[in-house]
Amino acid sequence: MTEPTVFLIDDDPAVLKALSRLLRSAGHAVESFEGGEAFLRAYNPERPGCLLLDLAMPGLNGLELQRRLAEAGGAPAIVFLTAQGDIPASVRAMKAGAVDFLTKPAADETLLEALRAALARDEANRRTRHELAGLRARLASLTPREREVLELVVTGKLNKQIAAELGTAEKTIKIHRARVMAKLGAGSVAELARLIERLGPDLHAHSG
Amino acid sequence: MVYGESRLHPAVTLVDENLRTTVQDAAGPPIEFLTEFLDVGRFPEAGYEALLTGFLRGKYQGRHIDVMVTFGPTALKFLLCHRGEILPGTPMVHAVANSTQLKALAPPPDVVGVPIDTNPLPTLELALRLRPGTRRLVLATGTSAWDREWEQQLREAIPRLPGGVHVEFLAGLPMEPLLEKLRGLSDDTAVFVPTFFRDGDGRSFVSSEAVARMAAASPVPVYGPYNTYIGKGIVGGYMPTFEDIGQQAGRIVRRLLDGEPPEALSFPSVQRNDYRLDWRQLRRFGIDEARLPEGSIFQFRTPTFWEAYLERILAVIAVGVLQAGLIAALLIERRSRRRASAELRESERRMNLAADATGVGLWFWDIVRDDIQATPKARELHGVGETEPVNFNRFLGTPHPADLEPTRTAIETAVARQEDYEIQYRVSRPGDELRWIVTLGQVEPGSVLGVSFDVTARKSAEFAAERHRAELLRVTRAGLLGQLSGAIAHELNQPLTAILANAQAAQRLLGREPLDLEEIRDVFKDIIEQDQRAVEVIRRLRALFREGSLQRQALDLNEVVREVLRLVHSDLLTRHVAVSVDLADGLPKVPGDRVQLQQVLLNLIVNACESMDAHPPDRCALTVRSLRQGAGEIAVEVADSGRGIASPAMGRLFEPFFTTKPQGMGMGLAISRFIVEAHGGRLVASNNEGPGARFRIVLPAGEGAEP
Repeated sequence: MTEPTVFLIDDDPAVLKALSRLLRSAGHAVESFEGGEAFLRAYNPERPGCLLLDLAMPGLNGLELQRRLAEAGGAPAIVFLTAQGDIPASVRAMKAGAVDFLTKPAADETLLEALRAALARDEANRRTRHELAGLRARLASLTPREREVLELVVTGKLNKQIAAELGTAEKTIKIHRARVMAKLGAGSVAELARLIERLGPDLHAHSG
Repeated sequence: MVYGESRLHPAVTLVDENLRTTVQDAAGPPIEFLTEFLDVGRFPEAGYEALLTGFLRGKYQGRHIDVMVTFGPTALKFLLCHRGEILPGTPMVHAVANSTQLKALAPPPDVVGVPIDTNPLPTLELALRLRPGTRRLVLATGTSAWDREWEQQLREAIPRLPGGVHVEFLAGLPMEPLLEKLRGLSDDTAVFVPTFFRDGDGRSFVSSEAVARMAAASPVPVYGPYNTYIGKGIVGGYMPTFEDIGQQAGRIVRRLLDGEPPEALSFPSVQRNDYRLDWRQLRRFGIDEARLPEGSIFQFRTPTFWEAYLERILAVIAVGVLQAGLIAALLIERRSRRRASAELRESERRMNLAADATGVGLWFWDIVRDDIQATPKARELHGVGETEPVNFNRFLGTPHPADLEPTRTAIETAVARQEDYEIQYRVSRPGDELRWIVTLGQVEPGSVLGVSFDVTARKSAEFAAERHRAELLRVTRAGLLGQLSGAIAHELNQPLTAILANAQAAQRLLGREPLDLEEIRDVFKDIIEQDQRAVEVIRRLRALFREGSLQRQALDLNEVVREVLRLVHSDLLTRHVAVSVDLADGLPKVPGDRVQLQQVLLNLIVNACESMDAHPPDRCALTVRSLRQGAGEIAVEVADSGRGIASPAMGRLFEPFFTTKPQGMGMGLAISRFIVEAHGGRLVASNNEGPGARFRIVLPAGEGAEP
């Protein structure tokens, strides 16, 4: 996995330069953008990292950017850093999922702490996404028949019952079951059920 | 009424006035008062008395007089001697005579009165006590009969002073040498002056005036036994008041007039004395008030209400108070005529009348008894009945509900902190529209003395005085400053953030091996740059709010507009106001004061934003344009997409104190228009065809500017 990057977005070039310098001196990889649009153009959701975002910018302001990113399906970890500690804005930002909301000027410790938390959250998010993606892929690798068997197995039915329902032999069911378990990497019915649980609505999107 | 001396003495006025009002019953038959001034002090020659007797006998022959009143021992003595010839059988009341004199004169039973206590010892002891280290007493006395009597009394009292006190008499000296001696007194001395009717050269004086001169010449405290001296420069003494004396004598006269026989009357055995002090003199000599006996009465304790507040009242009322000239004239007259306290009170009474005439209401709030005394004008201003009893709660029923809480809080805080306060609130009077009232309160322990006036009616066109304008401009700037806090925060916080981040980065960089000196140098360069940027912001902001008189320069209006827009930039962002700017090219320069014109623009922009504050973000549009208008005129226009101007408000928009905002003071547009007009231009408001309003500033272009 590549090193996580802090993406700095602020309309003031002096602030951008100074913050960039500070974060680099603390060992972070930093990329700076002078506005929301510039960032959106370069945004790649695959790149690990977090955003350090100003609120009041001409064009796309911080909250707007947050919203746009959410709409586009990306959910980067965002720390807001702004000159005006406006309570309504901060509440909106936090409700929309920001990790933290800081006011300028912020002490280095505060800043770095918030970024640590953001990067940690980003990493956790990625791991989850990654796992789910893998799971989905494995699910997709099931044949239609195997799919049918899976859905009945997780309801707790016995092989005999499943065979009867699907109109095949019990022996066939046993084989399908074993293949499903192997493809999905589950060791028991309970595990299977848990995996299916995690995928939730995705399951039905892929079935039929 | 018979006075032993001349009518010039302020004591005469006090006694006279108080006696008359006490005697004259408002409901009863009118009493006729006849007055004689024997002026014995100024006419000491033998034969004068005989002349007087003859004159008075002839004058009052056949006249019926019900009661005679004498003032002072000389008048008493004279009448006791000669009453048989002048007005035999008429009962007499004596005043201003002490027990020693009475004993010597042995008046018959139909001559009654309350003696005064002129024992000088308490005053002398006070003089010794108030300033530690006072070891010498100087007693200045005159040459008239009464003066000599005092001298005698003092000589008799001296042995009873505490030991170690050196006493010197300056008796019977002419005024100039006496003053000279007083000037040279050492610091361990105190001076006592009783009466002073005549000096060593035979010049006659009004005692209180003589004492005033002595107090002015003396570098040490001067004490005296009469309350007419207080305010003339003495520190104080143990004394009765002439007002009390007058009233007491009046009461006796009243009862005699009602038919009671003199022998049957009972009254106090002696006139009441108190320690009375002039607070200002205490301050002057650094005397600690804790040294004073309990129950001491202080006069002139604080600057009178008028002295404290007149400047501010004038400043705020502005030119609508045409009669302010009257008040000022009265004040000047009063200052230069600081004579008897009676005259002082007289002019104060006149000022109260003038205050009423100018629409100023006076009131006094006794906090302990929760009772507010208010002049008819004060009652009228607040819509309170003429005879209605008023307490604090009743007063709190007068402000507009929106103003009630701030008013109550301000007053309660001021009273708790014993600080003076100035508040304004709207009052809705029955049958009248909302009026703005300004109230000033001077807080004392247990009471508040205050003034209220109606400030609704002041028209902006009459802002003539530069001083008023400057004061108000400053107040408005402070108001606008609050509104710009967002802008300031942002403008300053950017460079500060950069500085802080750079500095903290440098700290870390310095801990690295090897040191990256290039980077560190760059850090310092950036810090210095950002520092200068911050300084520049502060300087610009301070310039915007500095008070200054009109400074004319040839201004590039577009630049003025741009600077203001930079300042409000982030505020506009936060409010989601979309700004479109359309500044015409090649506009001629306009002579004007940059700061003031920027203030006008700020005001208009802030108003525009506030008119849109309930709008959703995509409908908040602000347009700022500059353009040529007609021959030699430039216009700057601020238009918004807000609520617009309601028609009843249209005609009153630029009126001072007119506001449609609940928290507004109503001064912004009034001042803006005044500034623009002072520049030879005009400020016009109109509604847009669509939503919102536009305000246009039209200014004349400079001479010699390109057409």
